[in-house]
Amino acid sequence: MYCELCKKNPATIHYTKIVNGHKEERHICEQCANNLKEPIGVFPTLGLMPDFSMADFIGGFFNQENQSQPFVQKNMSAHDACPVCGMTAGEFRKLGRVGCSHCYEYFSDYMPGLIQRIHGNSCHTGKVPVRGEAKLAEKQRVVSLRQELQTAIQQEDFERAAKLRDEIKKLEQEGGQNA
Amino acid sequence: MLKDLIKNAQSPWTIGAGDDKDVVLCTRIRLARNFAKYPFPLKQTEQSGQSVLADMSAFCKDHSNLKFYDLRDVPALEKQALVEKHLISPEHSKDDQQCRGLAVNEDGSTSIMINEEDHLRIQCFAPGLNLQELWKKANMLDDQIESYFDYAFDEKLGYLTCCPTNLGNGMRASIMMHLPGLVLTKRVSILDQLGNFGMTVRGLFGEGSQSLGDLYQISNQSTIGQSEQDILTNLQSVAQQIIKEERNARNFLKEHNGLLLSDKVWRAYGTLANARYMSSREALELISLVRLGYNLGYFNQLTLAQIDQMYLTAQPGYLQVLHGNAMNDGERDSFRAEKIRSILA
Repeated sequence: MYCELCKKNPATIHYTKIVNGHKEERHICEQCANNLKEPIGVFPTLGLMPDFSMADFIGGFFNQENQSQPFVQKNMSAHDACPVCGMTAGEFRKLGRVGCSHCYEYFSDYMPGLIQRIHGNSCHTGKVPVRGEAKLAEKQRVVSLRQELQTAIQQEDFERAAKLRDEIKKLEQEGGQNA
Repeated sequence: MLKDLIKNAQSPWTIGAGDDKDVVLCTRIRLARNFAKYPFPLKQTEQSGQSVLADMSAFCKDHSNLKFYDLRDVPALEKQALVEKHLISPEHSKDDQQCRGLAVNEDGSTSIMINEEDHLRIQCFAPGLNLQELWKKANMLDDQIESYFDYAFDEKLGYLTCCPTNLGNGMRASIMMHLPGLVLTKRVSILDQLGNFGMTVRGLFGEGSQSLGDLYQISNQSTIGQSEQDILTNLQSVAQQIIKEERNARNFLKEHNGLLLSDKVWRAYGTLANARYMSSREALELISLVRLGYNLGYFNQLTLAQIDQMYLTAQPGYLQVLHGNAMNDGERDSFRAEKIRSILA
């Protein structure tokens, strides 16, 4: 779209003028805006300023240099992508948002500084999903069974080891089904 | 039924009820949740988006108080009115062919945005200041949903959300307040201090420090490191301080500038009750004065519900759904004036 006044430059300032209740949309260029007899507000070119975006704000953290604490622990190429949803490091940096729950693990070395800057050195202390709690217990049970299994193998108690192995298998299968 | 819900003038924030209703219109608690097995809406395929909708539609069948809607089937004007009633976000009203859904109860006091930025945005509303009751309600609904589906959750980070700023409990509690006293006494800048207490403030309508209609929304900022209960207690005590300051300011105005104030208030009432043509902006400004006057005891014949219902008529989408057709600016302004006159009649 070209400027309505000079018809030469692209229109970069868009505003609505209201005279006696009549609305008029204007599209002009920066140069003509500066020459207007009646300025549009105090800063005629304010319309050129892009809206504040949280995503850009978050993304900006990645580009800061000379920080006493490194923002990223591991540098990633813009093409490194989360194996589950395909979100790339470049996209993440641009959008300031992640694509799936696995991204938090995949990008964990890439964004500890980010979470710290947003939330401080905090850990979740609120509600825990009931099913999550059960799963957590299940996970911990598998861990302890594995340890028992190791001990059993070392002690060459193979009968017990076989039993433990079956139990672990069963728990893991159930876990897989619920997930 | 969605149309009936939209047309209903009894929104939780327009019934003029609840604790501290002279200052607080409504309280809201929102929980951000995601299912463990699907990618977030940002990386959703048509298929996984559809699965989320299907899951929630099934959930709603088992919970008859909630009705499920596929927003792709809802006309744009109705979606605009849903935004105005705070049942969905402006983002969620977009016609972008994303698998957007809504689950909502009959009186609009509970709504779940499905496939907004997160799979679920559970929202509960109540008139007046009512954080504890509301938390119980939101928490229960959250438990019910969780008994059907696995949430994305991490022991350290809490509920996993698309935007890292919502990690943790994923809870945003907001209080919608009417603060004409602080505005008229030029003390609204005390709200800028709330950041020090982990709260944010924004005007409900318009940008900048002065909000149209003197309506402000105060919410918690951080979502991690504090339990839900701690956040709510903190927000409650901050809100109570603001309520106290607002009442002080109103009483000061009445005592020291009574004649001028009553003149302003009665003129506002006169205009609302008689105008034939009224813009949304003018309506919001005048309603604010009448609400202030009501709470200072100037009007015996009015109710707070009548006044707060006028807020809805300031909204273009609601007005057009009520009218049944799309209207241009001029038609809206004339229909608005007519509606406001009938509310006050």
